[in-house]
Amino acid sequence: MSVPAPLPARRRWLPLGLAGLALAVGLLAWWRGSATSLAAAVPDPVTPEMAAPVRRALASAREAVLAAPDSGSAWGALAEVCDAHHLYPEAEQAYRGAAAREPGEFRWAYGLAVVRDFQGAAAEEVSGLFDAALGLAPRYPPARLRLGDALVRQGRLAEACAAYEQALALDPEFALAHRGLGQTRLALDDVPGALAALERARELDPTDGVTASSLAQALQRAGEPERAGEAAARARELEPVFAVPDPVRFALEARNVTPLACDRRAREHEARGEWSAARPDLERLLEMSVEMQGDDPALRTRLARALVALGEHERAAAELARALELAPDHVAALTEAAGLAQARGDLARAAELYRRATVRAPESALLWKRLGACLGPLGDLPGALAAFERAAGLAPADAELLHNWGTALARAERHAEACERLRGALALEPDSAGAHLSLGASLALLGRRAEALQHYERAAALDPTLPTAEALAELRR
Amino acid sequence: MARIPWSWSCGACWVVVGLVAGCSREVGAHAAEAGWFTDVSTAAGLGFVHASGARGQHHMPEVMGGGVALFDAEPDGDLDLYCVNGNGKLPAAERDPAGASAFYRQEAPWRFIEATREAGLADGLYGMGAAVGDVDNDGDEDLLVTHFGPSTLFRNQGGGRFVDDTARAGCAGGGWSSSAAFLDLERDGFLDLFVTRYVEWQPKDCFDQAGRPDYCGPKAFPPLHDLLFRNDGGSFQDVSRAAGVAALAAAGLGVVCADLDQDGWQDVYVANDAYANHLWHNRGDGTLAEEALQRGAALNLSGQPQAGMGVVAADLDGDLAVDLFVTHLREETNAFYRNRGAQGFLDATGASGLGPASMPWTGFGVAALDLELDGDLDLAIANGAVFHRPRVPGAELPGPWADYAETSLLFRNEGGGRFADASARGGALTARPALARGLAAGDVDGDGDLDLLVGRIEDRASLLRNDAPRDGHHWIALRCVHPAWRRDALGARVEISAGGKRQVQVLASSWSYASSSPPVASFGLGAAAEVEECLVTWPDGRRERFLALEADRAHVLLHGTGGE
Repeated sequence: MSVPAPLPARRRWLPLGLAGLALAVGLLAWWRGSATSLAAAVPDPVTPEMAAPVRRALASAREAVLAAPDSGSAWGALAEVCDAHHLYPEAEQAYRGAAAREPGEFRWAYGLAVVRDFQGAAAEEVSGLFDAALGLAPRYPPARLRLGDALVRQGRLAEACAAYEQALALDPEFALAHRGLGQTRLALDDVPGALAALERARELDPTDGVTASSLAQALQRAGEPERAGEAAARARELEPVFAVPDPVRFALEARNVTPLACDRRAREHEARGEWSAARPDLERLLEMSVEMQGDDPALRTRLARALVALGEHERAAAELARALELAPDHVAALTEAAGLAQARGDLARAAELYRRATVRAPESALLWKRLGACLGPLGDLPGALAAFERAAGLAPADAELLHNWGTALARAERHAEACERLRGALALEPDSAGAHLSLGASLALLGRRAEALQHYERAAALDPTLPTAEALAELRR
Repeated sequence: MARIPWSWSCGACWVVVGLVAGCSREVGAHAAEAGWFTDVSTAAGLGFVHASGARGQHHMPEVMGGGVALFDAEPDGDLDLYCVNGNGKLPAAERDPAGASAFYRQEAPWRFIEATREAGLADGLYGMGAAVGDVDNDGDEDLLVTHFGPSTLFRNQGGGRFVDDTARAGCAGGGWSSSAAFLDLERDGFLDLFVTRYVEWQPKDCFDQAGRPDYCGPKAFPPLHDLLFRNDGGSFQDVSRAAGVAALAAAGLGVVCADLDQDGWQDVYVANDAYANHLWHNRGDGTLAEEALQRGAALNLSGQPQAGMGVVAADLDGDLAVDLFVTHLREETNAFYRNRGAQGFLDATGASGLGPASMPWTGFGVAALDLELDGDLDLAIANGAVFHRPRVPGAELPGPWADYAETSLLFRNEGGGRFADASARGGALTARPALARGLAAGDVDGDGDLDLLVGRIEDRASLLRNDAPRDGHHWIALRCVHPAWRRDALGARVEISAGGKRQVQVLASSWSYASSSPPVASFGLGAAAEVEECLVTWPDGRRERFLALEADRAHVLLHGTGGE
């Protein structure tokens, strides 16, 4: 019998190598297949028509899921971004993915219940999902309220009443739960119970138009048509309140980066002077504006205002320069740019910008006042006085204006008139140390020493850092 | 003497009570098919395709038109069709000779020919809806077309020839009108006119919740108040301010007129988009008082104003009180306001089964009709989105429209105010996703059940033959005509008793969305072969009793010929 000759070393390794290669190819195919099926399982709602920040937010949340497919948080974040943009089928899919990976996380179970409710899912499913969420956070009143609302939509009114009552057991001052309870009791023909709950809701939030209209209906049913008519008239005057005080959903809504949502949030922050919170939304809005409608000088001006408040003067100046390039007569941009120049000590530039603004908005007392405040220190006293006079003609009851105007008149050595303006300023703001000081100086120069002394003393009392000592010593002699 | 139209294919088959006898008609002419509605448009010669004029700029009127009308224009006894069209002139409210609403005359059973110019109904303004009524009591129906812009009144000269008489009639109004309804508000025998108006639209960039350019919602613009025109014997006077209607502006879309509190005077209910609905209570002195809030018909059960589009007034729960059903936007439920008499209305949507099933869709046109002729009213709802939505499987419209297409709905009345979703049996009504808007119902073939005409944005209008199974059920159709007025008594309340069951309907031509239908009370009678008693409350307050009306026939009840 012949014995096969031993294979040379290289040939001995060949089958092993081929097997390894096959294994590697197999693994690669498995991995690619697995990646493909994962990619297919992760919702992809991005379409080219969406605004760029929305596309980015969705794509980045999706990429995070693909990078960490076992992360419940990544799936949940994707769900919330979809939910915030009302992409409910995709949000539902991602919430399910998140809940499968983090079954103990309330936010995913709650989000799923809410989006299924929004999609009109069957009664059993919706109440089951809310029950599951409440199992994870039984002491979260907004979820009880939303369950009540969902049960109302499903026509399960007695259960809805129970849900509202549970919300009130957790938070007795939850106006919307009282309101829901009242409305549901009315539907169940419990008119006295409805009136009691609705009256309580009105006590807690007298501004809610929805409560007022429900009260109108309850009063009509209670046989009080006149009071019902009054309540209906009141309801028409009031705005309806729909926003549920729900921190979980509030946090989610912050993920909405559409122009409407960004603008609403930015305006809220701007009104409260929360500039660092306003800034990202203003940046997004600007980006979307450039992309969709063309550059917007008003948005650049709003962003510049936030940047000024945050101390980023260079960037603010650049935004304002661009705004004025786009719209050289844009009053808000001119005003903001002038304010920035003034703050940086460039009064000549500020005065020039204010002048341009007053040409476009001659009825703005603020612009004339600020122009006067720049011209005075620049030595243009006639210009300053003319500007202050124009401002006073438009809005005379302005303490700052009267103070500045009085000071300018004093510099022009028109002390009697200065005293008149400064007294006017003090009538509006009796504790203005600066106005007392200026008035004291003019009175002294007019030779009215006793009165001057009184105002110097008052100025010193209000602000001991003011340079009053020398004048006081002189007047007391 | 009033001419009595609609004889259908068998000749003068209306039985004019107290005057002449007519003929009967075989019941169940169409065998039941897989679906209850069969699209017969192509075979019938209805080739109308709606053109919104959209060019990607998302002009809001583009998604709000599409009204339709079913009426007997000649009158020769059969129903003719009118389909309202857009034009290419937006954002201007200008006439465009290329934009053409279309009139189709019924030449033979289920055979229509386009006869717009011949009938004098060419209308190049950007159309929204249509309303039908005999404004001069001359025995033929006149047609009002609402527009994005002034309305047009086409006066019927007789024989189905119309003339634009708007200027003389004084009912052009202005702004963006949507639905309109004729009613005898003052009981003087002449039909007054109520026109809903929407918003002061102008081009504006709007975006959906995902930041995509999209159509604006109504809150993006100031709302307009509705208009009320008093008919002074064939011509109109705008009395909106004097009557109180001008006091409230609220993006009105659908309208229906009925005596909702049975005080003898017709009230007006308006479905407002994103604002509280209006229930204009007729005080009987020519003025109207808005009382929807107190009466529970303004807001949903949670106190929220919804996006009211279409509306129908019908007894949906069989308690002989006229309820209201309003169609709404996606993510809202449609609303069923149950009329509880002195206790006002109650939003009974949740308990009715009509709520969550409607949440995925945006409802516009709606019809209450007895599909199986079993003695209760079912609901057909025409759906189509106004904003981008997740694509519905089977949506095949061109361009961006597939992202707005929705399937329509059919609900079967299970009695006691409960409904079951029967959309799976809707056939051509519910099979194909579209942007359905206008919906009119009328018995096109005289077989006792109501057929449908559906207007669709950027799509062909559909004439849908009702082929629902009947199981041997009987029917009766009742017109109420006032000989002195020479027209249908819009607003009459018709209550019948058959086989121990009582039913009620009110006669109106305008309900649904921007659409008009024949004012006929069409009852399914179940197994009853006779209506033992019919009690008519006429718009002038007179009540008359008609006895022993034979089933499976259409009858004309003449004012003054019934018993006390």
